[in-house]
Amino acid sequence: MESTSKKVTLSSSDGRTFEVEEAVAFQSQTIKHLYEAGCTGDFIPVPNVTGDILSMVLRYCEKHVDSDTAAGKESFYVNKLKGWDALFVKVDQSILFDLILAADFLNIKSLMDLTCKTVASMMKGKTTEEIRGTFNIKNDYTPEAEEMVRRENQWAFE
Amino acid sequence: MGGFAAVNDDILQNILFRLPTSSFASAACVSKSWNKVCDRVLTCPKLASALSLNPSLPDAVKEALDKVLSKPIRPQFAIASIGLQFSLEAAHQIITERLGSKVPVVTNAACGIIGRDAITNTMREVRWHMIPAEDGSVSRESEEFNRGIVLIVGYLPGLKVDAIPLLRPKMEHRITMVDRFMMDIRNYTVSVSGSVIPAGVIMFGDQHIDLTPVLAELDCVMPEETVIAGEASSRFVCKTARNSEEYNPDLYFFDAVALVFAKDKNKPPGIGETRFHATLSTGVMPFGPELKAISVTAKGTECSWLTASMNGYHQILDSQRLLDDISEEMDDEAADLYIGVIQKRPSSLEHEKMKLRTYLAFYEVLGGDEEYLVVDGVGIKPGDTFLFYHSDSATASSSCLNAFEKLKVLKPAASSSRNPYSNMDSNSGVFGGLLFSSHYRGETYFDSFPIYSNFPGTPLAGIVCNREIGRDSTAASMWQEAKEESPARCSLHVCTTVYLVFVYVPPSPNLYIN
Repeated sequence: MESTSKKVTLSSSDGRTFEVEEAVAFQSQTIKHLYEAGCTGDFIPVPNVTGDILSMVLRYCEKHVDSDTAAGKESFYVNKLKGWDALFVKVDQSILFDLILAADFLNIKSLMDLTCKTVASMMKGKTTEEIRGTFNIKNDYTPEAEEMVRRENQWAFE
Repeated sequence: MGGFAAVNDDILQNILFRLPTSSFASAACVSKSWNKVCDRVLTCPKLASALSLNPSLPDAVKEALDKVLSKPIRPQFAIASIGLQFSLEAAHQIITERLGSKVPVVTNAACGIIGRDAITNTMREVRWHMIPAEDGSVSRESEEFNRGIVLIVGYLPGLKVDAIPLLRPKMEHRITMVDRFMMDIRNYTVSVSGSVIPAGVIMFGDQHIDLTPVLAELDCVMPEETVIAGEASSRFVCKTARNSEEYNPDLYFFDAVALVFAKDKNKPPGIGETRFHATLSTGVMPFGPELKAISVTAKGTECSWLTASMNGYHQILDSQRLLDDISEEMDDEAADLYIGVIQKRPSSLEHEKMKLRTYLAFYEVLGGDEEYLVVDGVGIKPGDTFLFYHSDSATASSSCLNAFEKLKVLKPAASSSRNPYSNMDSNSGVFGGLLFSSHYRGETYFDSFPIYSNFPGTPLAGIVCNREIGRDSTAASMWQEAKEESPARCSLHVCTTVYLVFVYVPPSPNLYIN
């Protein structure tokens, strides 16, 4: 077993480097696998994630590093962490989506759950038009085709 | 750029599967790619169930509805069972309004409910003991009980579902239209599946009618693999998917209703199959010698007076003494007494007209005098043979363990990895269960354990019934085997729990070739 105080260096897509403890970095399954596979030089490249986002993700990982330990599972810490998480995802939509992409690439399940849940909650109670508006999505249906899918889901709109 | 344009379908699916049903329906209409992903979330069949014991009807129904609709589902049918102190019509109206006009719904009055609490998520098994007063009204004492609901909503891609009522005209002859009912089921099944055989039938009967002849006919017509389960004797209201004029409630009483599940002939490729699997746990034990009915007098449709002798002898038995002897023999004074009558009746199928089919029918024993034995219900003929049965909690416990073992074989061999973002292929196997549990089985143990211990976390709803429907051909098998006869068919039980589980079989990968 490696000692937990060992450090690894990560390098973002725009060339910024971050030195963090292994336990922090290894919350990312992707980094853990890269490290274990031995394909690391002086630093581990994280090509898909910018320095700004990577620093946010690492901040998240630092906060959550103890969440698996017995002390971290006590309800006091769980609630405190929940509050921290809620503030963490209070960001612009574009940053939120960058965090999702980073969590996906780095394979950090708890961050993926947190960010996806946040986006889902932005849709709750909204109509189709409101969802399109909120996320700036183009309606690519012909009026006839849209009528058809609406009929399929009609029960929800009655 | 950025936003949803940057995320792939897997991420979109990860987001959408977290939505409650109504927002999910809105999301499904956003764009073509979103619609495709929504379909992916719902490739597999799904059941959602919840129980609420909130004493306020609107609150209880809302709690249960909110819970079952908190995750994506496209409701295809719903079954709600409510306490006797709740208004059937009021509960039914709230449910049908929320689920829309195209979803068949059956709401029935139950003697108890089984399921997971909508708020606390704990398993509850509630058996209300109604104490009818002398004048037939419900005593005050029970008013605090009998309040609650268990609701189950299902989405079964590859199957179509509708509710088909058994009608009795309010005018003219007022005779239950069994033939019409059989035709309606057949026509519906043929129209959606191209075959005459449905995958499963869940039935609810009105307490004022005897479903025995109807069930006998269904048993005759449908092959063994078609599962039939339900509650034969309660009050219910129902809504059919097609708001058809044919079932005008101004013209007809609904004596029963069948939720008919038929394979969809237009099933899209890549959709697996939903199978029904039923098993029984009996709570009655036969005892004593075989007897034979000598004369039978039916009093209306309520009860029968019969004289009996030992099979092979001629002397009419003194029923009063017989019953006294029985009650002396039995340890458990609270045990209910029945007779199980073997009835050989002509098959209702045209090509089998000359053949006799053997049925086992249960009748509750009401009493007796020096000559007559009085039982609840009609249909016994002179010459029918019967045994006494008594309710027995040891039999119920051991047959419950049998049911547990029988359902265990449906468990996947190894715990396959589940895809957390949908109910995709890895979730093959049992995805939900319904149980119809007799109100006479007492409170000593949990009747639902064969389902929830085998399939933890699986949606589950249970209805505590007066008479349980479940096809079976083994109930009298020991008795029959000894006489080297074919086993008797039995669909209507006493003191029994009928377990119905829904099994998903993913599409075979070979089907994708060509």
